[in-house]
Amino acid sequence: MEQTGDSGKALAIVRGGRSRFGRLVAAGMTLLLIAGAMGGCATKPPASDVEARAEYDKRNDPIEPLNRYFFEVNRFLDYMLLKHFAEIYKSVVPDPVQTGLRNFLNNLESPVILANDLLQGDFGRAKVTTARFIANTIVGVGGVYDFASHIGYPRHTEDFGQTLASWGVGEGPYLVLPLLGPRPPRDLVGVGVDLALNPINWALMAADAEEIGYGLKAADIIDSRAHNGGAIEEVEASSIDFYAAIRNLYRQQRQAAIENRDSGTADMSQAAPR
Amino acid sequence: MTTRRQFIVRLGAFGIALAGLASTGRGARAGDAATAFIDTLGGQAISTLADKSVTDAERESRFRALFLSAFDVETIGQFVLGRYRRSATPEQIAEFNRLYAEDVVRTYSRRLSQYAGEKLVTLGSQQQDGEIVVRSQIQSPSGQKPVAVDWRLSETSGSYKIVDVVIENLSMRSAQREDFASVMSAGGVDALLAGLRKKNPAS
Repeated sequence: MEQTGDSGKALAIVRGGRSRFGRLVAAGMTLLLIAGAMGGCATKPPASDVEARAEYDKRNDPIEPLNRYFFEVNRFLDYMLLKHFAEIYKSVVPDPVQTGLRNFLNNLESPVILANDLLQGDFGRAKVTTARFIANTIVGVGGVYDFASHIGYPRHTEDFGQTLASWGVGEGPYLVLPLLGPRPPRDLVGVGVDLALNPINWALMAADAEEIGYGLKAADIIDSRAHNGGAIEEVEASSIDFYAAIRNLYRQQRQAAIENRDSGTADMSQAAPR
Repeated sequence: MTTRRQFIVRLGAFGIALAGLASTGRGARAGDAATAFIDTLGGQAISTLADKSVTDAERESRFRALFLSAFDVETIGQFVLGRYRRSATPEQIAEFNRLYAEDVVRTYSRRLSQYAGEKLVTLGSQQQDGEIVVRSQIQSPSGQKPVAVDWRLSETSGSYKIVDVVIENLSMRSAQREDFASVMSAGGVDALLAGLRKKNPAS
């Protein structure tokens, strides 16, 4: 009984610390929002200028100055922090470990992908996701090896934003958020629902081990940045208005994902230990 | 994060897009003239890259000639200028054409310079919205997921020119049109010309 009390106390301390950190993040976000809100809204062209109005409507970015502000905040955070973590990760961690980590993280996403396959009524892809999860968890040693790609089950992704789109929900106005990046309302709701759909999050919460979840997320972000940062830098190099180019590419990419226009081939460089 | 990662992964095509023009399978599956055009172009790009006997300056000028003959710079330029083209003066149009040709050359030279042994495999062509689409895959030597690249071509009396490059479903001319429109809606055509000059110094 004594021990239970002690661990309860320890938990309370940890909880207290976490919520203080949470409050700090919340305060920071509020400050950012206030600063950004002063940027105001995009100027709507007069109805008499038909072409300009049509362009404005197509752009569908009514709070563009605010979005641009957060876009720059994210670029700054990337430049100050993420980029360096990613570079260190890439140079220090051996390639096979990076591959294994990527596969492991991908495998953990399977329940969410499966749920969305099913919610979209795509039973063919749901079967592939299920086969992948079983094969990779068992034969692939907890997902570290992507065995399923070797036996003809290439990976695909789905998220609740795409599910909403398949139900006919529109994207809504463009929105860029601090840390999250481009997240128009439909995709933002999708992020929240995907978090709730993921049994791993519930399991970690039940075990009072959310820290593991944060750790996994951090690993995911750093690994992604390490492997794909060059592509974003190429967009930056080839555009004049980087923000506008990314807005267009984000929407093109989402549209292709919604229509499942992927090639259906596996990434074999990730599939096996090198 | 899935979305963002996937997005970034698709953009990963950028770096090696034209690099993958480097083709060895010339004519392997080319059942038609449009596909053969892309195969030939890839072959020329790789032989220029691989030719160690030429100087850097010579290689640069060969790429310049290759890109300017392969891309329909004027048509793409008209597309990316969009509605702003009508309000531009002839001098602005002439200056834009000059700067934009330079921009195309530099952009694709940069992408090609990241070439690392990829192979371009053409998968045939089809008609779409009055253009010919040559589908292709860029295969990396290390077995990474192949990058899907669609080459949209215009045809005039049997000869082809590239009007758009679509990398993993991302249309480059569409992105550039929005990019340029954003610049011009804020500062007019002159702002775009200034932006192009700043992006490609000494052009």
